[in-house]
Amino acid sequence: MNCVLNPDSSVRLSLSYTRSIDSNKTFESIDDAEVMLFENHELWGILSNTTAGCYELNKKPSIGKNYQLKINIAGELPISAETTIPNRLRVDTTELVPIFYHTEDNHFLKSCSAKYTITDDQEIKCWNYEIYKETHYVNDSDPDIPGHDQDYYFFEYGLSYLSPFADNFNRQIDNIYDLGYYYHFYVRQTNEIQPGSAITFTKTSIRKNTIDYYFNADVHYDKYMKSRIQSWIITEWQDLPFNEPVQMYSNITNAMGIFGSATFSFINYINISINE
Amino acid sequence: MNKWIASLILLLFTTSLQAQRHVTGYVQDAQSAERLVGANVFDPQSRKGVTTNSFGFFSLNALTDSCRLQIQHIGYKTQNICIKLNIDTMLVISLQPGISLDEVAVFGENPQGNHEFSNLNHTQLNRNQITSFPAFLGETDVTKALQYQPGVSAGRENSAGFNVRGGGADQNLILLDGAPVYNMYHAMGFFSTFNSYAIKDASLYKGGIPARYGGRLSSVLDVTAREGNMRDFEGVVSVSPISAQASIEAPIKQDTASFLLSFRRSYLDLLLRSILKLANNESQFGYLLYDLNAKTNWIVNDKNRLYLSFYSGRDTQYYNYAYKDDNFEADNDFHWGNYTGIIRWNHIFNSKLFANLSAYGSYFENQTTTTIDDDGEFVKFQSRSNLKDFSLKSDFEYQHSANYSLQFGSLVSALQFAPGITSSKTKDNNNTLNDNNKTNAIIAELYAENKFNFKTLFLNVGGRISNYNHEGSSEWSFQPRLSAILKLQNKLSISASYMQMEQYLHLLSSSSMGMPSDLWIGSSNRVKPETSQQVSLGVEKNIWSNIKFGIESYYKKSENVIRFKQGMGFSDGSEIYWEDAVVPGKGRSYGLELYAQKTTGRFTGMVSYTLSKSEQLFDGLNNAEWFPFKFDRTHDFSINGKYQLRAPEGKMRNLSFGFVLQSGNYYSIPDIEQKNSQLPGMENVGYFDSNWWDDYFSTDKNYVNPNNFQMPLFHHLDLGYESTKQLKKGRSRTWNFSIYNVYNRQNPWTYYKREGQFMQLSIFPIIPSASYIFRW
Repeated sequence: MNCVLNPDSSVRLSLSYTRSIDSNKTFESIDDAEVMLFENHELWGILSNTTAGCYELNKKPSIGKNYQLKINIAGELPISAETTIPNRLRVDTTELVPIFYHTEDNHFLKSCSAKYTITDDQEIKCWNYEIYKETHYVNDSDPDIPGHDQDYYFFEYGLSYLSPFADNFNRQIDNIYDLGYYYHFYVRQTNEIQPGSAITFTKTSIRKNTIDYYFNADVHYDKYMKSRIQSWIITEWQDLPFNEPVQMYSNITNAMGIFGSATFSFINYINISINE
Repeated sequence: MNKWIASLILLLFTTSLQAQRHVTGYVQDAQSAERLVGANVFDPQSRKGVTTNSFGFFSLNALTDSCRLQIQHIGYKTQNICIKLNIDTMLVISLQPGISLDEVAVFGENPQGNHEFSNLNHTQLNRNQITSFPAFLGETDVTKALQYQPGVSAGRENSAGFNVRGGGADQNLILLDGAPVYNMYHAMGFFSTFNSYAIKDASLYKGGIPARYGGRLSSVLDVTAREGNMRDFEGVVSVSPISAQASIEAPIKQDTASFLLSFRRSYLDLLLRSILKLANNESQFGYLLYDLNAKTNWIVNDKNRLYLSFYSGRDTQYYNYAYKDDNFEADNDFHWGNYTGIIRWNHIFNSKLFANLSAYGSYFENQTTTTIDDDGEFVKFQSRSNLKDFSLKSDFEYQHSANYSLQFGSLVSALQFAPGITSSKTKDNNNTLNDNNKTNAIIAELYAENKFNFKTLFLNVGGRISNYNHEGSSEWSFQPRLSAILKLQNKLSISASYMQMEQYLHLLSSSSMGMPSDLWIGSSNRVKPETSQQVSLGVEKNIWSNIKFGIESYYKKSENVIRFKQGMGFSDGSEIYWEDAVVPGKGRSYGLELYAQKTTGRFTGMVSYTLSKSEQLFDGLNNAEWFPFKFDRTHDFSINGKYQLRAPEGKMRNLSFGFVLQSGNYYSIPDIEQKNSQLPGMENVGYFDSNWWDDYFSTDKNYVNPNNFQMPLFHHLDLGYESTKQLKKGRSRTWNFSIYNVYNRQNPWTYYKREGQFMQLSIFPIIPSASYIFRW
């Protein structure tokens, strides 16, 4: 069971049975479940089955409210979970400062730097990721290839910047990055030592055509994110035998998966103009 | 009950009224004058005996005016002495090293060995015994030698960490010269921090732990470092495939003061540096470990002796690179290590009262540092965790009468825990964050052991009172201890013990290896101290004059043991709210241990077998039902031996072997796959193969029940051969050859799934090695 509430989107939930690890069958979806969502303990809506294993409710949850989920499936124990929608983070940045490569007779724009301040009056569990856009990526000289003139969006799998608030659980040493390390997929930052205090850091790898996302996760989604990334890291670096398998976090009674929430903020660097 | 106590007091009183003389003194090595720990001093007439303490001291009451004493210690010739006892007498007894191999038995009338503990509850190994096991990569290791004992097993293959009677490695109290060592691992746990050449003796207590020890649930490993030769300059250098070691010891003043210095260092980093330099590589990466043991002692006079010991052990992993053309340099350094220092003062007040006063500090840290210098822009980022322990300790031994002695003392420890302190430094700023993560605790403890030594019955009845004060909250505990040995006819003895233990420190660890990121944390209001109770009952018998056989059963239950919550982990010491990440639970373990041991003769060795079960129970895990602890080993069989070959005079050749056969480790292995929602940003961003992308990021492997998989049988056979040649002027050289895993058993280290197939990863194939030792 997976459902992550987001105040900018209507509710979507997926429901399927797990499968044995040595099975190559597709996941068996569950389409006859009764799925109820409560807002602050008042029935808020009943989700309807739209496609295989997918349930939807055309309503957007509200920041600060508590949502409870109850699912009944014939022959199974009742499923329940709850989450509270976290605040939207305020993300402020200073003006971009270009960083150049210098050669003997020229210089090239390498990236930009900016100082970030992330604020909220409560405890922040901030996750950062980046998407960057490339156009005509496939082969713009060959018009026969489908999609040759489309825009493609790529998930940046490694972020590298220096922040004392960063959780180093997914930090890896790699000399390709200027700082000598990167964070796998996401950077997790918290102010849990002093809830309400600002998170400040400097990014020196800002590039054009990038969207810089920050989302504040509720306590369950935060733990779930962390355990999934830890699990991926172990799966990916199988040559590192010292890690032991991580159990995926779940806050759901009588099922696995996540019922969490997140609130998104972003900074769009797609069309920035940089004075070179 | 009152009648029983009255009878006991009367018996003690009447015994003390008899004309008694006290024989006190030290037992020492005749060549180096180094004091011997655990030597048996036995009075055949009264059939009473005592064991020398960790300073080689003993005190014995004699009932007659003349006394014949028999003094024994493994690796030394038994000595019989007769003394006239007109007054209280102090002796310094020197034992000659070595045994006559053609003689069969040397046990004489004292077949029971240690008087206070059964051999199944207490094991003692000296340096020669530790180095008589087959080496791994040329290195012998005290903790790996102990893993052949019944009830003791390694957490993972070749791990120096050990688990006692189903307990976690964090439940073992590790002491070096009386100071605790908080992380005893080198090289991700493959080697212990104990340099075999610097060790004199190691004692492991598994059950009936006497009240003088406290603070951990499962066992105590009390390691004593060598003191240094009081008579001659002596040295040893050794080279193994991974490290080199040098030790020197000498008298500072003949028979009065001496010192020992021992240093071990790996040299992989030196080789790598050379190779990278030859390849003109601007990057540097490598790994190194070192140990330094330093010890000195001074016999001030007959009644006073001072000891000063220092230990430092450190591992460093580094990765540095530079682009000189761009004026760019980045250094990544990860190091961890222990430092201990202890000063001890032995004082003999009179023939009845011996005291040892100690002051020590123990420090463990791990630290990650990243330093960037980008064309003058300097940034330094540091994350560190540490634990500081400063303690004062007193131990007194009072020999009241032939039947009764009292051991008592105190310990006051000031601890500081500093997990995940981070700081950043630039040209303009210097910030330290979460400095308030530091917490302090005070532990104050008192203990007393009442030792009753009757002809056929030895009793150690005692207890430990402790107070743990952490951030304003206070916890009291009383931990009763009892051990009894009843000696029957036909060299048969029955032993029984009960112990209650309290552990105020918890180890946060995601691995069974002994990783440097493992972090000690003090109990708090939310996470209570761990407690345990253990009972054991055993029988031992000398079957023949030189073969001992023992069988013992035990039951142990523990409370407030911790485990990470579902999906929570601890990867780098920066988990701030660790209390939110762990869940308290219960543990229980029970088992039957058997051993047969031959301790003398040309062939010595031991066979041991343990049948046991160890389980845990946590709310919210496994439907709140018991599940196997990851260190549960239902069957654990081992056999080891050493055979001294006949050799020409001036040469010594030994063959040794070790074989281990155990039930496989329990392991939490993903056994299901679940469909998950895409994480933010990962939807619709693929371009190569969207099906693969979707599958990779939306299908996760998971498990519901912890330790749901048991690995196949674990076994390996190791062989060793050692040849020593005596040279002129007391010098000798030794070649040591060993083969780990002779028949190349592919023992599983871990499992994973690749391309739909389960794969097994084994990391220790057959490994031959050689080492060279030169002594003078």
